[in-house]
This record gives sequence, C-alpha cells and structure tokens, in this order.
Amino acid sequence: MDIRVAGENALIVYLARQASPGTLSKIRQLIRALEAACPLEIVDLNPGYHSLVVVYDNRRTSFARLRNTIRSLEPAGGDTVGAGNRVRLPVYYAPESGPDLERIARRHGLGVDEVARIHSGRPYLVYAMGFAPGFVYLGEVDPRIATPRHKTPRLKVPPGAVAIADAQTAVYPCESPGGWNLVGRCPVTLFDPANSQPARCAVGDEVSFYPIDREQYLAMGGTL
Amino acid sequence: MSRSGLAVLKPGPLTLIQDLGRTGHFRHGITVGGPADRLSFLWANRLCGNRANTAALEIAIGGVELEAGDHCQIALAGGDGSISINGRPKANWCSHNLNPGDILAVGLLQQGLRIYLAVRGGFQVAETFGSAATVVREGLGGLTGEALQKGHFLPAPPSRHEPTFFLPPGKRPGILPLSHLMLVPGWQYRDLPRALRRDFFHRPFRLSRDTDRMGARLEGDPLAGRGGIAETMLSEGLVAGAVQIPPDGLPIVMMADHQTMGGYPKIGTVISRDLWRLSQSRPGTEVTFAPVSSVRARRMARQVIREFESTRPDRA
Repeated sequence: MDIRVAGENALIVYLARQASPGTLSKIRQLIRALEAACPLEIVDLNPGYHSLVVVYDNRRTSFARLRNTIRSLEPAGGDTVGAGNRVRLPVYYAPESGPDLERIARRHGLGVDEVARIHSGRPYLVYAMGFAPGFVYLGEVDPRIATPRHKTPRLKVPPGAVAIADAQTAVYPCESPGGWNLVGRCPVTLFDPANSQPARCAVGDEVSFYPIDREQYLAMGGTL
Repeated sequence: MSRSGLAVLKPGPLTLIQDLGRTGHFRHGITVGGPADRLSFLWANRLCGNRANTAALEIAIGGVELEAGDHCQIALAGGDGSISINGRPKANWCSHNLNPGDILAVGLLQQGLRIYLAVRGGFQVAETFGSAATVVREGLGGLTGEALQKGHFLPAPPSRHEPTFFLPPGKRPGILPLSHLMLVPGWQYRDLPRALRRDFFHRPFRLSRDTDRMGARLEGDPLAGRGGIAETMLSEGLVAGAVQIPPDGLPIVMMADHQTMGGYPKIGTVISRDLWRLSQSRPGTEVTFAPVSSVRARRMARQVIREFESTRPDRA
C-alpha cells in the first residue's frame, strides 16, 4: 500500500498497481474497515480503479495519524466483503441508437450484430463511479471490440447511451459531452435523485447487458 | 398578504443558492458544490445570525435586484460593488433590515467576483442528498437545479427589527490581492520529472477566461515533459484544490463543482484559504505557486477557522 498526501485534509491510498477484481475487493474492504474504525474522522471516500481518496476532518485527525490507522487496516485481499449485486440492463443495439457501431465493426472486421453479441456476451464489474452522478466505469471489454476514444469528444451524448472506450464500457446516465464510442441505448434510468437509492449500480456490482429490439426499447420508455 | 422571502427582479448572470454542499457522495459521482469562497459565505450567514450551513445566495459578477415580500434581515459579504436598498447606498460585510416592498440591488462588482447574500433564518429550499447547493452541471440543488431566473421567489422566514452587525475592514478576511497560491505537493508529485516540478513553482501563470466553478484553467508558458506517468495513469478520485497537469501542460485547479474523478497527473493541492481567494480573482490575474508541507497546511486551515470563530463583528 502506498499512501500519499492529497491536500491539507485528504490522502490517497494506492492498493495495487493495476485494476483487477482483486484490487476492487481490497478497496471495498478498506472502505468498510475505515467506516467502522473512524466514522467521525472520515468526511468522504472516493474510490478509483486502484486507489481510494480519503477526505478527513482536520480537527479530528492528521495525515500521519490516519496513515497509521490505514496501515493497520491493510486489507488482506480475497473477497471477504462478498460480491455486489447483479444488475441486468436492456440495450437497443442499432446504428440509429449506437452511431459508432459501424465504426467499431469496420475496425475489427466484424458485423454490427457481432459487436452487439460480443458486448452483451459477458458480465462486467463496476470498477468505479464518477465523472457525473451515476456514471459507472465497467470492465473489461472483450479485446475483439475494444476501441479507443474519439480524438474530439462529441458535445452531446444522449442519456442512456451505452459506450466503449478501450477496454472500458459505460452507460451515460444523463446528457453530457463525451468521447466514448456509442454502441446502443439503455431505456432504464440509472440515476434518479428522487430515489432513496439514487444510483442503480454501486462499485463492486456485476452488470450485464441484454439486447432488445426497437419496439421493446420504445415500450420501455426509451427515446430516439 | 405577501409571501415572506425575496422575489427575483433581476437574477444576474450567475446567482446560485448554496450551502456547504454535499459531502459523502463522491462514490456516486456526486460532487460537493457549495460556495466558491467559503469564508465570505460563512460571514454572510454569521452577520445575520445564521448557523454556518444555511442556504444563501452566491452572486457572481453582480447585477442582481430582489424585492422583499415581508420584513426580513439580510447580510452581504465578499466581493465589493455598489449595494443599495431603494436606491440608498448600503455597506457590504453588514446586515440590513428590509421592509415589505424594499428593493435590494447589488451592482456590478468592482473588486472580487462573488458576493454572498444570506437571509436571517436561511432560504427555505428542498434538499437533495442533504444539501440545497446548486450544481448546474448535475442539475441538483437550488430551486430547479439551475441558476436563479427572473420571476423566481426565494422563500425565507420573516424577521422584524433584529439587531444588525458590521465587520469593519480591519477584521475582514483578505480576498485580494492574490499572488501566491500555497500548494501541498502530493498525488503524482514524486513521479513527475524534476524539471517540470521546478518550472511549476518558478513560472507565473495567468487565470484563463475559461474558468468556472468546475475548474480554474491557467494560461502561460506550458509545462513540458510530463514523463511516462501520464500514459499509464488510471482514473482516480479528485478533491477541490487538486491541480491537474493535462497533455497541453497548462495546469487546471479543481474548484467547488469539480468532477469527482480524473485521469491526468496531479502535482498537489492548493490550500483551502487560497482556493477561496482564487475564486474571487478575475481572468488575467497572475498566479504563482509556492510549496507548503501538509503539516503546515493543516495548521493554517485550522487557524483560518479559529480566526473566523474568534472574530466578533461590531454592532452596526
């Protein structure tokens, strides 16, 4: 574990060199352990792919003290926290909902249907959440369809857009700019501030996609 | 009978309802938000007898007119511009009693970029995730998740003839001038090449026009040679004050509405006091960075709050 200063009241813990299911499990263990050990000192926790930012109350603790606490809590690894929820999301894969489907298909010498089949063919882990409320970073995408970001991001990506960037995939919860490759749209609302559980997914959850057709997409409240 | 609160006659270019923001929601991708200049915000609330975390207005640039629906007390603190009630000039860093129908006007700010307007008892606004703070990008907080619009009504409890308070110039926190930003080296600091680190602390930058509540962009001579770190970095959490070095070599300082994650290398984090002052600085302002240890930075942060708590305003 590498623990570094991240400001007058924040530090960052690097739990591994790479993102992996094992790293994710360690991050989740450390979050639980910290919440139990020092609930008053911790202001916020911000997990990344292989790291955890800890924002703390300056009046209750200091970098040196919290670093010692975290070292004593070092997670052993192995998933003692238990797996997250399983979430299944419908996706309408088509050029009209996924304007980059053909680009990806051409790049890899596949048919559009094959891209959709490969994308929905495996479950993904939620590695991180951020950028925008409810935006989940999912991995790993099959190398047969992994595609780098656009050089110039689109100014508008519609809500529900399902996208690929290298080995990551994600669903845009709300309209925003974005440089990822769009393969389809999901009609399910992923982030609703009015809900007691505003975000549909959490870090550590397993997300899988299943294809739906145009009619089903529209019937489920999807828009085009 | 008129409603208690303030009617928005002129909203100004960017007037936002703010409280101390949403903490504890980084892991859902929800940013903190809150006042860009927290110290001025705290003073506005304190001058009209409110607790620290009370919803108030952050007025950027100025140009705001509000009409009182009932008796109420307001207080102003922060950047300086002409303030008037029914056309009569009034003091900044001061609380004032309003009668029904009174028109409070805040002109264009001459100094600083943001002024805070609190009302005794606080604006009564619904909270999302425990906060009324407006983050326009996320569509959260305020009346509608947006900046104030003409015709909005800001409900607030009535109050009559309460004593008013004034913070004389000698007791006010300095918001200007700003030359040095103190920065706690951290994050990828050790991984960045020595030459870049040296240049960073020796080079003046200018605050860009493309600065907003999300990030302060700096212009100037770009920092060259980020080294191999940039290519292998994985996205990680951000905090307010963190300074990213993107591919173009021009630093970006994360402000109150910063995105919760980022994948650019970071050289360190600006201390809160200087971040608040930076948010009061205009585009073109020259900015340099000076390193400070985390131990000293923590001491200074606690000192700023102690000073705020121990300073007593005068009776107006």
